[in-house]
Formats: sequence, C-alpha cells, structure tokens
Amino acid sequence: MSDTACANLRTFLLSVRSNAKASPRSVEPNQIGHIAFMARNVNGRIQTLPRFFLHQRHGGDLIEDIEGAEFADLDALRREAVLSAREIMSERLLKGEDMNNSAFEIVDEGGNVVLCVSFKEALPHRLGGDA
Amino acid sequence: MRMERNALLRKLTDEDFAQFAPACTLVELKKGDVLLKEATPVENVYFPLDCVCSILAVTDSDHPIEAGMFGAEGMSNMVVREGDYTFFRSTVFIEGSALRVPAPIFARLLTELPSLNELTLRYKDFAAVQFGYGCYAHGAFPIEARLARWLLMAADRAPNPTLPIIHDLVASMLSVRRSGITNAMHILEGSYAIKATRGLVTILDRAKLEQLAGDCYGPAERAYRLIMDRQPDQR
Repeated sequence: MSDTACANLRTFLLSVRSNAKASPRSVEPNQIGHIAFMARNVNGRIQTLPRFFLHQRHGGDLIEDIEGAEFADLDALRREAVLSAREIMSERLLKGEDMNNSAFEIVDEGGNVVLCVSFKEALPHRLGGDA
Repeated sequence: MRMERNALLRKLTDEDFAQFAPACTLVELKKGDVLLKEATPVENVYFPLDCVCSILAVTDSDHPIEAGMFGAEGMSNMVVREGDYTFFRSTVFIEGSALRVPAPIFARLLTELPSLNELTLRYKDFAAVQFGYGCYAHGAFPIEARLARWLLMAADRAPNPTLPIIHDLVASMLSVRRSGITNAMHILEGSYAIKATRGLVTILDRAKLEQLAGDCYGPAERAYRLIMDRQPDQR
C-alpha cells in the first residue's frame, strides 16, 4: 500500500471513529464499512470487540500474525503498533538490521487493510522518526 | 499407580509413599486456574501429573512475568509451616491432572516422612537454579532465544509434542508484546525448528531449537538431573 493510500485510509478511519464516538450505541457495521469498533458495554452484556491482525513487513519478508488480537478502538490499535514497533526495532537494531523498510500492515477479520504503521513513525522526532 | 507420574512422588520411599498417598486428592486443572495467589498464605501444595504451570512474579496484574515453570517433574511450592505465604502467583497453562495436598497436612508430613523432606528440599534447590537461569535468559538473550527456551521447557513437561499455546500467552509470560512473539516464532519457523499454527506450536527439530536457545536452555535442566536423580538414601 502506498503512503498516500495509507494516509487516505487513516483519514477515513479517523472520521469513522469520531462518528462512532458521537453515538456508540447506534453504530451499525454497514454504516461504517467493514470496521466496526463496538463500544465497550458497561451494563454487563457481552462485549464484542473486533479482531485485528498485525502483519509485519520487513522489506520483502512478510511475517503473518496468525492469531490477531481484539482492540477497543483505533487509538488502542495504533498504540499497540507503535509500542510493538519500538520493541521489535530495539531487538533488531541490536543485531544491526536495517529497519527502514519495516511496517505493520494491520488487517481486519475480512482481510482488509485498516492501518499501516511504518516503524519509522514509531521513532521519536530527534531520532529521525515521525512520532 | 497414576501418582507415580509425578517424578518427586515416584522417588519417595515405599513407606513414605504409603503414608503420603492418603493425603492427596486427584484434581483436574483447567487452563488459567490459579494455584497460588501472590501475597497470601498457601492453601494447597500441588504435584502435577500431566498439567504444566507457571510461577509468575506479579506487581501489576496486567504485567506478570514468568519466573519459573513446573509440571510432573516437580511441585507448586514448598511449605515449611502452616500459614506460610507465597509471594508468587501460579497458574495452569496446559490443562491436566494434579495431586493436591492441603498445606497444613503437607507441613506435618514433611516432619514425619524423611524422603518427602529430602526430595522437596532438593526440588527447592533446583527451583532456585531454574529461576537463576531465567534471569540469565531475560537479561542477556534476544526474544527468539528466550522463546526457544520457553518452548523447550514447556515441551519437557507437556504430555503431547504439540503445545496448545497462543502467542498472547507466551508474550505475557516473557513480558514482551504479542508482535514480538509473532516475530520470534517466525525466526524459529524459518529455521524449521518449530511449526506454529493458530493456537498450536509443534516442535519439529528439538536439537535445532536447543541451538537457537543457546546457553539459556540446558544448565538448569542438567542441574535437575544432578540434584534429583539420586535415591533419597544415597548420602
């Protein structure tokens, strides 16, 4: 996925999330496309959180996340990607590996890419990153 | 007898075994069962027959880290006197059966049965060695070596060669993020040491996995044999 496509997708997701925040109970999966971040139910009913798969791309090498995990919202998903990127980078940098072409490609249960986070985005500014 | 599937109980003298057996209750343990709760008095001592359990250091409930592991080669913990505390949490991660002895009865039997006393003391010695090499692994080795060590330790204790393990569980045990485990599994799979599918890890090449674990797997396991594989009456 190109950077522009990623940026467009992110803008779309952010708008989805602001809609979902405005009226969490009224959000239907079809209203917001394939991304349904259900509000956490505080009344003791079953919580349904969507599952996402954090695939990693390191240059031409794709590491598939076969199990995935549930996330309450886009912020939580993004936070996990950033923190994971930092952890993986710290391990790989110690071995002298190049991290310039590493990214998370996060897909939903339908296999649709919902978020891309390049590892460079997870770096603090003064280290040359975008975060 | 089924009790003898536990390596410690198998080594009891016949007389001590006969006295110890009536104190045991056979229990079926499920994944996630908590055997010990940190900072509370120990209620029961467990001798696994085919379940595998973790000993966790916990300060914040969301971020435990595994300090040790035990299965049919050992026991949950030692109690010297009634009311003794545990400072670790212990949970079951591969379900199976175990023998449960109430802590006060265990403490009394310890004074009455010489071979139980000696074997559990020796096991405690091994547990310290295992914790020590755990420190070595966590402090000096990359995630994939620590994962290799963890899988070997689990396989040593599990009844089947295919381990019912999800990445999230291992991540929590090793105190790394789930994606770090995904990455490390990929490295081990790339060496054809294991095969990971959703919720299952199969060890394909044990020698290779030991090589990938480096020195952080092996010393404690050799220590176990040196410490435990002597008969109680050998001085």
